Amino acid sequence: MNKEFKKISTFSEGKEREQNISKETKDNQEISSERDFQRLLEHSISEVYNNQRDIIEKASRRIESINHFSNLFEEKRNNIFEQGGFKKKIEEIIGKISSLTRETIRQIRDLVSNQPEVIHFSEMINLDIAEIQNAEVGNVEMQALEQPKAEDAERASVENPKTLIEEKNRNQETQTSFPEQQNEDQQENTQAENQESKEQKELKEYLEREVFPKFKLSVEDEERALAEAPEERREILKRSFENSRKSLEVFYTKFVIDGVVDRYAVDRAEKKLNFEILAPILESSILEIKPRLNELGIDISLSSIGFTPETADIEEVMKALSKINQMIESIIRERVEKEIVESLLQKGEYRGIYAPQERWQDEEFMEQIGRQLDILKRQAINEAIGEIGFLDWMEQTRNRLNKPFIMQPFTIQESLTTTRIPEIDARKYKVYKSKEEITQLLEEEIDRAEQTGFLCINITAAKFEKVLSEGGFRDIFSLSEEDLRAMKDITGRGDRFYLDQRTVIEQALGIYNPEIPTLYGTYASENGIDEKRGGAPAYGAIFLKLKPEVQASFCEGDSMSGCNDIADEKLAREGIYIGTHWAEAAKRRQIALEHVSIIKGMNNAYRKIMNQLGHGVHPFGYIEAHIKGLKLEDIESINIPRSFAEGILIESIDAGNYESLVKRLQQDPYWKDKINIID
Amino acid sequence: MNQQEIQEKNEKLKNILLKYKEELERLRRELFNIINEYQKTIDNERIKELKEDLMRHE
Repeated sequence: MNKEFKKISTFSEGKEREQNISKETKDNQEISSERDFQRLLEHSISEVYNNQRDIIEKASRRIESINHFSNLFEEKRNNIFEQGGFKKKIEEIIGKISSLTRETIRQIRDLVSNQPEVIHFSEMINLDIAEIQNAEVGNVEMQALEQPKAEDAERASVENPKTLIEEKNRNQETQTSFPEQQNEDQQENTQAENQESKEQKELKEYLEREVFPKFKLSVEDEERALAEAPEERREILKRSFENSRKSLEVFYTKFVIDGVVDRYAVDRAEKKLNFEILAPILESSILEIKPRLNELGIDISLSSIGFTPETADIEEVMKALSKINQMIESIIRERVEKEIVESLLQKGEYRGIYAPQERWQDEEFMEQIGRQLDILKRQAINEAIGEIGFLDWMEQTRNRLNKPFIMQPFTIQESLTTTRIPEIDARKYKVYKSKEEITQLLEEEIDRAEQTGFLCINITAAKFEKVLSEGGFRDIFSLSEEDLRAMKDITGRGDRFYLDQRTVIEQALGIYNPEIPTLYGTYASENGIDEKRGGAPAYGAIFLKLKPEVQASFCEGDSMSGCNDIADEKLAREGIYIGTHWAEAAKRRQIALEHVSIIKGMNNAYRKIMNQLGHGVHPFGYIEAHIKGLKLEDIESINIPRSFAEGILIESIDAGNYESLVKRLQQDPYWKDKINIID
Repeated sequence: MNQQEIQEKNEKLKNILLKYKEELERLRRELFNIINEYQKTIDNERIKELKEDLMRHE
């Protein structure tokens, strides 16, 4: 049919026609741009709303981070926050930001005061803002700043170490509960706690009977080892026995008693719920448009637009509907063109425009007619499209689908809970492992860590160049003024703050000796990451594998900031806060060489299970190694991932040039056999 | 709404958003300046504590 229309239209071909076509397209765009404008307004409103949310979230995270690393007692910190006027000022500005958001949304809404759909939409947004003000600023935001419950619990925990965990669990559970369910939940919790202590007791017995002897961590093993150890090692060794046993207990408790939410199952549940909420809305909406589309020979159903429990997504629905809209337009265009051709052939006329066949050879006449027909065609197409009203229906459908979610915006409160949709209780998706299952995995992983473990130092190209040019390593206390300044810039801390903290911790660990520098590295082992990137890739892409005879002592996680999930949990259970109890927190995580494979294997097993359940682990959860008096001769191999060695990846400007360093080392007779490029 | 009205409203919208962004940026800076001040105060307090601790040890 297009062909026939083109035949008639050839009368008006040429530049004029091209202009008409482009004008027609432009007009169509302009006609639909009112809807585009409405979309722009909706988009602007959600932008304004999102901006407010982003700022509050960022500020909240920043304050949480300051508090976490403040190394001050909470009471003192709170006092500074409140008495120093910071709390009041921050509340004031957040209030101003909320007012600005409200006012801006009101102004945007006023632009479309004649458009009921948009008013409805923005009114709902306004409700959200009120909710955010009450929920985020009033409760959640300030709760994040003050953390009164966590602090109370922490204070209480010094007297009763278990209280912190219980309080933490209660807080988490309250967050995911609906108010009317809270009493019920609390009752359940009390029962659960009694149950838990019984389970905990059973677990302890199991560990003492089955697990500790297996890994030579029993009290008898300890007595034997202490009797054989030289005097100067006894303290560290004793501590290491105690610390390893406690970490294993926390590790077992986490998977056997507490359970871990299966994030993948939660995601599936969220999608399913999305489908359950949206399918009836979409289905009833489809019923409205179905007869009109059927007339055009287009079928529409949930399945024809690809809406299933696995793919329930509003944006995907809108994409599918846009395709249907294109189909409608092309069908209507064809119909109108057919109608014009038939009308002219049969009656020599279309909508009052006369063009009998005998005049078709008159080029001048047909050029004029062609222009008029184009206008009429456009009108007819628009009329037909308007009659179907598909775009309006799409817009209504989008609003209907969005409605259940607009009322529940993603807030800080929600991000604190474990699921995105409040209706889903993540606790239902917890996975528990049996003691035996954990022991089996642990045995495999500890065995692997023993076989493949090595001492490792991650370092940047720039720092390693310095080490090579100076002929050896410097410790943190013998850095140049320039390096110290650079470190100050990175940590944002005052003069010597970092060094003072380091001194206290090294003294506590019994490794402080200014005469022999302590180098910080990691204990790494094959776990899918360490063998490719080293134990702590964040410190540099090069990882130096040290010779097996190099001696070291160890700490679970970073001795200054923690960040090892199991060790952090252990400290919390014992009422120790890394930020304030530097020395104690380090002592309770110190591990001797005898036990490092057990702890590394346990951490690898932990990472494995957590990844299987869709959780990440903290990247600083490495096993820190304290190496005394390290020399260049102690390096067994220099390892660099190929992407860095070939200059494809760089870390940052001041990390140095890996490519040129590698080339130089490959030509150096001493290093050339020691350098490995890792694929 | 005809094309002219849409254009006029579009211009109004641009103005509203421009003013809003300027004001929001000002408030954002103000907020983060206060948070920076808070960090400085906390750090100074901790340094004071450390100095006192070290003096006691000496």
